[in-house]
Amino acid sequence: MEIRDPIHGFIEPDIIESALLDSMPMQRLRRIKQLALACLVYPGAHHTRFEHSIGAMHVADRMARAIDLVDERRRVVRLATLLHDTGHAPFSHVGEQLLEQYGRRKGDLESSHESITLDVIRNNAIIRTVLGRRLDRVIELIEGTGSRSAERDIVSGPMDADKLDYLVRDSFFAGVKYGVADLDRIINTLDMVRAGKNESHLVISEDGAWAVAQLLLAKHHMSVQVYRHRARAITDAMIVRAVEFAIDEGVPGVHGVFSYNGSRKALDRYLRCDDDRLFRMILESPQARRSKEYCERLVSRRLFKEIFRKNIGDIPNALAIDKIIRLSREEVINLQRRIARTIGKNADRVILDVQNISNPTYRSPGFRLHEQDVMVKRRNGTIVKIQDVPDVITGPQQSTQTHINVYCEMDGTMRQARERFRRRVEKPILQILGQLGG
Amino acid sequence: MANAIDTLLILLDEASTKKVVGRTLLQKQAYFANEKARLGLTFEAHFYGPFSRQVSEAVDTLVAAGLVNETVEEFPQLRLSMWESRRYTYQLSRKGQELTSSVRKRLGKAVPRIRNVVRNIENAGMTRDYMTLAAASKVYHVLKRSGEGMHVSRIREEARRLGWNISEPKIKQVIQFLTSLGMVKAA
Repeated sequence: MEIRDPIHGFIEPDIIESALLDSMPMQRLRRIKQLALACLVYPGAHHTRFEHSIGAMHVADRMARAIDLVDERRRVVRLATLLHDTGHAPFSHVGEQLLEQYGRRKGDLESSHESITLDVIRNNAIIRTVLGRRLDRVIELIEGTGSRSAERDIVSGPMDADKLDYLVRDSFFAGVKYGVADLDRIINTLDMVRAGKNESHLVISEDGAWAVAQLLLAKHHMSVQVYRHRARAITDAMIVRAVEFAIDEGVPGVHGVFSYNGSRKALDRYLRCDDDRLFRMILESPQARRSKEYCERLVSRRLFKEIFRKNIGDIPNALAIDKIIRLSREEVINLQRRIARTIGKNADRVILDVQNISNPTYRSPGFRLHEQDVMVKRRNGTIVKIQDVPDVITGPQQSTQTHINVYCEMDGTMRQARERFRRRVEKPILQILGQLGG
Repeated sequence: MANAIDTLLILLDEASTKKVVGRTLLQKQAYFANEKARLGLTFEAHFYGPFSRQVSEAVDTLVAAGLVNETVEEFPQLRLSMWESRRYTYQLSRKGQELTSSVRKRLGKAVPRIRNVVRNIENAGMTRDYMTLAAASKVYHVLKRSGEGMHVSRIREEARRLGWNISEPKIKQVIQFLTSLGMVKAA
C-alpha cells in the first residue's frame, strides 16, 4: 500500500502499520482536526490527526535511518510514532483543556491525551495483537520511561518527529509560509551521542544548527500567527464554553467524554467521540440551551469579538496580578458576570480568557519545542545548547506575554461601532480586574 | 505553576543581594528548595541536571506580569564553554515586593526551609559557582533515584548513565555541601 501525502509524497506503511491504520482508534483520528476550528480563520486548515500521524511516522523513519538505527529498532520507532496521537480528545488541544478540568483519573496519572494514548494501546485488542512482542517497547517509547535513548528522542523529545511534521503540515494547510523548515537539512545533520552503557541522546551536528534555529523561528511565527491567532483563540474559548455549558445543562454523553477516569468503560465512551459527534450530541439534545447556541454560532461562524485585551503587566495592582495568575473556574465565572453587568451584556455571552504566548527565540519557550533541550554537538566534540551556536537566536526584546482577553457577542455591529465599544468598556473592565487585589 | 511562582518569589526575596544571577542558579535553588520544603514541583533529568519546566514557565509568567525584572548580559567569549554565555539576572520589581508578605503567609512553614537552602548555597559560595551547585543537584538526583547508599565511584557511574560527567573530586566536594543541607549522610 502507498499513501500519497501532500507534505512528504509517497509513504509506504508495511503490513503491520496498515493493520494499525485500519483499527478503530486510528480511523477515529480522521475525525479529529489537527487545529480544532482554526479552519474558521484559515479555511484550508481541515487536516486531521490521521494524516499527521502518518506523516510523523514517515519523518521518524527518516530520522532513524539518519542515525543508522538497526531495522527492528527503527520499526518500533515507526509504530510508536504512528500511534502517538490515538488518545487525542475531540478538537485536539482544546479538548485537552476540558480533560484537565473534568478528568477524574486517580493517582499520579493525569487525564492527558498522552496517558489516554497509552490506555488505548494497552486496551485495544487489535492494536495489542498487531503489536505483539513490540507492545511493551512501543509503550515505553511513548511513555518516555526506561533509559534515555535516541529512539525515545525521535518519538517524544525536544525535536521529535511529531513537531517536525506538524509545523510543516500546519503551515501548509493553513496556507501560511511561517512554518517552513529545512527538514532535509535537520534530518541529515542528526547524530546519536552515547552516554554510558545503555543510554544515548539525539543531537544535531553543528552544521544543522541554523536549520534548527530556522525551525524555532518558524515555530514562534506559527504560534503567533496560527496557533494563537486572535480569532482562533476566540473559537477555542467558545468550544470550551460550549462544553462547559453542555455539562452544566446535563447534555447526555458530554460529561462522560471529558470526565475520563481510566476505566475500560470510560475509554470506550471517549473513543466513540470525535469533533462531529461532540457537536451533534449538543446540537441534537433537548437539554442543550446555551451550549447549543454556542455550537450553532461556531457552525455558522458567528463568532464573538474581542472587546478587551491587556498585557497582564499593565494591571497596576500586584495582588490583582497574583490573583489573575491563579484564577479558578468559579472565579472566572464570577468575573465574567461582573464584567457582563458592567458592559451591559448577557453573562452567558461573555468570556474571560487568560493566555500565555511564549517566544521560543527568546528563552524558555512553551509550546513544546524547548530550545534549552536541543543540544548541538560542535566540531570539537563538546555539547552545547542550541542558542549558543547560531547568532540568530539572540533573544528579541519580548519574552512571554500573558494576555487577559474578554470576548463577547457583538452580532450585527460594524467595526467602528465595535471600536467605540472597546474604548468605552476598557476602563471599567480594568477596574474590575484591579479590584481583584482587594 | 502556582507553587513554582510562590517559590521563585521567596527565593528572590530571601537572597542577600535581593537578586539571583543566572537561570541555572535559579533552577538549582528551586530544586533544593523543593527537596527541602516539599513544594510539589516536578523536576526531570536534563543535560544540565534536574530541570523543572514549571519553574521555567513560572519565570516567564513573573517577568511578563512585571513582578520580576529580568536583565540580560552577553558573554560571547564563553560560548564554547559549559558556562552560561548569556546571563540573566532576576530581581523582584516593586510590584513583586508588594506580593511577598501574602506569599509568605501562603507558604507558611516552607519559608524558613527555603531560607535555609538559600543561606547554605550562599555560604558555600555557590551563587557564583553555579556549576558546582548543578553538580550537587545531579549527585543528589542520582542518590535519590537509587534510594540507597553509594560509593563515589558508583555515583559517578550512575551519573554517566544519565549523561552527566562529574569527576570524583567534584562529587566529594558536593557531598560536603549536601551534608551541610542535611540531605546526605556520609557513612
